[in-house]
Formats: sequence, structure tokens, C-alpha cells
Amino acid sequence: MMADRKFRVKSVRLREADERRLISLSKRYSLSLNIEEMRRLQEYFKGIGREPTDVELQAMAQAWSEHCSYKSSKIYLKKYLGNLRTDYTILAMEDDAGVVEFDSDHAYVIKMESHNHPSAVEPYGGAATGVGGVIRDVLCMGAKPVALMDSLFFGKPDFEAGDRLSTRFLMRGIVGGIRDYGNRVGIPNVSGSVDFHESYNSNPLVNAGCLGIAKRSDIRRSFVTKPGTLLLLVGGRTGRDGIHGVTFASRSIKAGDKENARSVQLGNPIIKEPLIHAILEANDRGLILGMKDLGGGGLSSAVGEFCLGGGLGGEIDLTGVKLKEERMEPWEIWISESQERMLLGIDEKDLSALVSITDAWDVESSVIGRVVEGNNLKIEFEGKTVLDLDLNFMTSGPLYARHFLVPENVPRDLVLPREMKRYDDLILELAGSPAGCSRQRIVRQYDYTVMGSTYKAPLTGLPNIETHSDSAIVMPVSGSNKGICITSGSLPAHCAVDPYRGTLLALSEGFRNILCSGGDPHSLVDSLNFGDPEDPMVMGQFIESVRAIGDFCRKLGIPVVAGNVSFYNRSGGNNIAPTPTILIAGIINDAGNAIPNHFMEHGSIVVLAGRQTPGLCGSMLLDHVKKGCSSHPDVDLDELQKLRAAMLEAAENKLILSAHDVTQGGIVMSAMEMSLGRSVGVDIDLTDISSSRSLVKMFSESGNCILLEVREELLERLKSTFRDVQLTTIGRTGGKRIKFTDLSLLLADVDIEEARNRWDHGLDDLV
Amino acid sequence: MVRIGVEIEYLPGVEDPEALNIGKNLLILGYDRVKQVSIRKTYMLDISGSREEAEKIARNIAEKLLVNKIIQNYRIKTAGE
Repeated sequence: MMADRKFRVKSVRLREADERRLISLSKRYSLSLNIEEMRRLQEYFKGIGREPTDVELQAMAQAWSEHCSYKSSKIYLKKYLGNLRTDYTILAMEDDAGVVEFDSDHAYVIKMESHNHPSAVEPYGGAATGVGGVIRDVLCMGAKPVALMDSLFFGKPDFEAGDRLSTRFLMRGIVGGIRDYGNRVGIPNVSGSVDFHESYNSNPLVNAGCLGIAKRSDIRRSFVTKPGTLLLLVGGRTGRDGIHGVTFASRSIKAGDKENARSVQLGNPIIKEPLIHAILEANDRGLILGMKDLGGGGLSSAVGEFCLGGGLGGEIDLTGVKLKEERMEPWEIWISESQERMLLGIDEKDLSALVSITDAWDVESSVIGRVVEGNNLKIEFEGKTVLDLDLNFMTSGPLYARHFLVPENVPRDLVLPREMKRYDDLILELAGSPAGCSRQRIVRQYDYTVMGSTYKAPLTGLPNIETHSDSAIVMPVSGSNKGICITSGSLPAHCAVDPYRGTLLALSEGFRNILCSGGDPHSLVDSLNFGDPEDPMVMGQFIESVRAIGDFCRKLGIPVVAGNVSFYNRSGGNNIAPTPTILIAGIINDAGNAIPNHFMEHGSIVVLAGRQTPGLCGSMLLDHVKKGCSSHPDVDLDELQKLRAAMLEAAENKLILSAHDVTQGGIVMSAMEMSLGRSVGVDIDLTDISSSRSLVKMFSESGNCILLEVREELLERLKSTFRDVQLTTIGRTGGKRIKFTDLSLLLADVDIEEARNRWDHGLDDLV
Repeated sequence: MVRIGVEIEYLPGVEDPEALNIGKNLLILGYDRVKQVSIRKTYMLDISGSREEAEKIARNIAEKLLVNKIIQNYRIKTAGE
């Protein structure tokens, strides 16, 4: 293919460069390295007495990018999230995904990753490859992917986009990309969240998660320890797509970022599906010693980490890599982020057996080199050496303890919105607003039942009138009723006010989502999306948020098993609101005992478990009436722990008819959602909740509250189960209307069908 | 009235799964002399006014709505008045 052209190694004059030339080199080669990092490179090559090749320069830029090296976040992740594991954790924060014990034979594998920068440029392709990438993260641990989830964050629907991308365009592209990729690859999309906030205008966030299941003996590591192991590249071909994706993700997006066109990867689920089968079959037959997916940084990151993880070096020949286009330069091959590729480490004697499996699945593969003793990485292309570097130096990227400022939490006098005589219209407005309405316009585009293991779908209730589930339940092992509950989301409006308490509340919400389905929270994955870490305020937000995750998990004994950090989410001069997306997996021993999330019967009692913390901070209501706030109430983790014990006991004794957490939209929206699932009305009296104003009681999102429905004859037993937690009887189900009263004053009386009409159609104009 | 065609294709290097799979299936059917398949899409627009004006309008439409310039390229073809 390349015979008509002789390849020449290109070296870059770095050693004698002055400051200006170093900066211009970093720009010219799109390295995204700053002057100190360029100087460090210069020192290294002065030390070894030669100039770097273009491949070496590119490889270093990949390895030292924020995306690959976590240079701004590592110190804090270690400080707050280190040592957060339990005796059932198998692998936490080590390889590409977390591995946790499921039963005596099986482990579940879980991971969530952000794909924000690509999705902001090419929403359809960017979101699709976000899903593709996280599937490979789970697959490379040796697990079969069984469920997907996605948390999406968009700008305000009414934002005037001008020459930037509008919310509607981004939303359609992103939802379309997730739908088309997930549905074609045949994995159910079971859970997620959609939020709107002005800081995401033209800068959407896409966090994709994946859950997998494996026999414990089939788990593979992302490195090998045996010198001589062959390295095999399997799956899609390598092209020019996605070049510089990670260095692009390591800076802020500027308007008219045309050069980033090439940093968008394009997915091909039609290759991914057989690739999954081929890999699982080969792994089942014990042919794979270790494997790693090719994501950010392409071969460069994957090979480096694969060799170094086992304390070894590598010898690579790029000549045989199968390409999409002719005449690709070796540096392009080395850092291309083309999708659907996996790196396998296999024993030489197993090569023919492995190739016969990949051939049978019509998947291409090529041997690209082997793992060798020592810690040197050497790459050849058409018979010439193009890279020869010490792996320890390559991966010893800079580590920053960046300047940070923790915003002072000064309580300010807050002018509360005026109390109204009646809230009927406000409730209907909120029900139909993008923030409060049904997500079914999006969810129904995803196949959430393919594979047949979804026990509880993201929408639940009677056919055609479903409401939202708190968490989905999948039963990944056939023949067993044991299920995994999944929920993911974040509370950007809360985190924007107070990153520490906002993060705690998001964690509490995820935790309660699992409890409300009858599961026990088991493990946690975070996807941390923040602005520019060189801004001390953003760094402060990040540190506060990570500290919250650490405090929460230590208190409640939940391991953080995997995570990712995405910085530089900034466009149009604004950093995004701190967005720690929390993915929680829970275990339910018998999915048949799952608790519904909508009212089941007429005439049963409605109680509020947990103490409502007064305060409208971060609430849907304040956003709707366009008022700000400055202080966020504390989150009581002791109470949450007691709530967990009580909920599990109540679920086991079948005391609860239905449950739903109270967060976004407060008691009003929670009660409304519960009413919608079966068209069972409710009459709620807010008097006994607290002595706060009615408005606060209706719309406060703070505190660890859960709405429970219980049969009248079981109320006393429920009360004794919840003896350590505040339990307030607040109403009764029945009829076809949703009513709220406080101190004998009727505040709202809304017809269920009218509420449903608004709720169902809130996103109609957007997606 | 001028009939303008806006022909859209993927940029070189952008993988088109649909075309790739058609190519693969042609091989299975025995058409082994087909070396590559690519797909182009043409929008036909009937626009009133002069040829220059119509082309300008078509270009505008293409950039605003029809083409994703991150992964696609387009060319304007005028069929005749």
C-alpha cells in the first residue's frame, strides 16, 4: 500500500529551542502542553543526547494530557477517595472499570465516563462514541455488557444560541447518537437523568455508564506480566478520526473551533456487536491473558499502560496495522482514537486459535508487537525506529497541586417568592417545564428491554400512563432472581450554590433511589465534570465535591470502584456548574420484592420518612421564578444511615406498597409522579411536616426524605420499623385529584389527567 | 425557476457503516470486483430567481440545515433553468 513512497523519520528540533519556539512547537503539533511541560521534555531529550521524533512528541503529549494523566485531580482523588473499599470489592479504581462481587460465582463490572468535548462539537457522533467507549471499558475486564445508562446535561431550552449550537440541536443529536448506538449494539439503556442549567449552554455534558457481568474467573486485567506476550489489535480499522481527542479535551472550547473537526471519533456499532461476541468467546476459552480498550490517546495510551502495568516494556511495529486510509503517518496511527478497537495480550501458541474466532465473527485483527523485559518502549514503522523511550519517563507526567479557592458559604438574606393563595397553576407549569416534566420522549427512543434481563424499566406503572422509576433493576444472571438496581444523576443547581453540600445531596438522592426500589446500595462510580482547573474557584469546587464523595462513602460504607474526571468544560467564557454525576449500583436479593414507585391502592396512608430541611436553595421552584440563593442546608448522613436500615427491614417484611424519593421539585413533584403511574389521586396535609411556610414545605428539595405508601393496618408496624427516623403521616391516596392543604387551607387541587397532559408533553418541542 | 442539487458526501476518512456493510454484502453475493462503496445524498431544490441567486440560497440552506461540516462535504449542482 505504501510501497510507492519511501518513509522518512521526522525529527523535531527541540533541544536548542527557546521559550517562544517551545510554545509555537506545542501549538504547531497540537500538543496542548504548557511551557513548563515543554521545558521538561526539552531537558529529557538534552539528557539522552538526541532530538525527539514527531511520534515521540505526540506520544508524550498524549501521556501528559489532563485526560490521560489526571495531572490536576490525582492528588485529591488519592487524598479523599483512596482506600474506599469493602471486603466485596474486587478491583476499585485500578483498571478501566470497577469490579465488585455479585454472588459466589459472578462479579459485576461497572463504569461511567464523560464524553463532553466531542459531544459539544458533533453531538451525534460524540454521544454515540461515548456509549461505545464505556462498553469497551467493561468488555476489557472480561465482562459481558448488560445495561447502559446516561446522564445528560443541557443548556436552557430558550437560550439564544446565535452562532453557537442551540440546545435543541445538541439535544436531538446527543439523544439520537445514544439511541442509535445502544439500540444497534443490542444493550438495554435502563437508567439516567436529564438536567437543564444555563451553564451548559452550548457546552452539554454526556456521561455514559455501562454495567457488565462476568464469572469471577473470567475477569482480566489491563496488563500482562509475562514477557513475550503477543500484542494483538482487534476490531475496527485505524483512521485519522479522533486524532488529538485527548489534548482537545484538555483545554476549553473556543467559538468556531474548526481544527477540532478531526478530533471527533465516529462510532460503528455494526462492528462492535460481533467484536463483543468474539472477545467473550476467546476469553471464555482462556485465550486472553490481558486486554485493554483503545479510548482516549489511542494505541499510545493503551500500549504504554498495558506494558507498564506489568512492569515490562514493549516492541511495536506499526507497519501491519490495518488502516482506513492510505498514507497515514506513524504518529497518526499511534495516537488515532478510531473506535471499536481492543488490544489483547495473548500467548504466541494461541494466535491461530484466536484468529479463527475473530475470523468466524468477521472481525479483523493484526499482530502489532510483543511485550518484552525492561521498561523501554520501541516502535518501528517500515523498518525504521520512530520512537524509543523509557516508559517510566513517559508516564511520569507532571502532577499539579493547583491554586484553589473554596467559596465561602455566606448565608445571605433571601427574599422568598411570595406565597400564593392557590398553587394549581404553578404546579401545572412545573409539571410541563423541561426541568420537571416526563423524560419519556427521550427514554422511549432507547430500547430498555432488549436482552430480556430488565426487570424494572426506567418507566413504570400501567401501560401508556407510566411514570419515572427511581432506579431500574436488571437480573444479569439467568436462573437467578438476584438483581442489580441502577441509578445515575447529579444536582447541578445545588452544586452550583455549594459544591460540598450539593454533592452530598446528589449522593443522598442516588442512595435513596436505590432504597426506594427495595435494593441495598452496594457500590458507587463517579463522573466528575468541572470547568477550567486553572481557575482557582473551579479547583476549589472540585476539591469540595471530591471531599463530599469521600465523606459520604466512608460514613455509609460504600466503595468508590471507578470514576473519571473531565475538566475544561467551559465555553463562551463561562465554566459549567460543578457536576459530579453519581452512579450507584444496589443489590436486591430477590427482584420479585422490588418496591413500586407509584401509588398502588386507593385508601392507603401516605407518610413522609426523614426530616425535611427547610430551604429552597437549588430548588426547581427558585429556578422557575428566577431567584437565586446563597446557602445550602446540611445533609444529615446519620439519618440516611438509619433510613437505610429501616427501608431494608420494611422492604423485607413487605410493609411498603410504594416509595419515591423527594428531591427535584420537592414533595409536590414527588407526590404527583407517584399519582401518575396508576392514576391514583392523593390528598396531602402538610401541617405536621414542620412549622415552615407552606411554600417551603411544598417545594424544598433538601433532607433525606422519602414518600411511602402503606396500608392502614400496617401503619403501626411501619412506625416501629422507622422508630429511629422521623415519620410523619401526611395523607391518604384515592380519587382522581392531587390535593395539598396546610393548616386547613386548601393550597392546590389538580386533576391527574390535566397534570399528566402537561407532564407528558414538556419536551415535545425539544427532542 | 432554477433546479439546484445539493450533493452531500462524507469527508475522506469518515467511516460510513452503511456503505461498508453494503460493500461487505456485495462480496458475500459474489460481486468481488466491487472494491469500494460510498454513498452520496442529493437534495433537489427548485428555487425562483436567477441562477446566481438560487445558488447562493442553496449554499445558505446547505450550511444552515443540510450539511454537518464536521463530517460532511457538499457541492452545488445546477441542473438548468
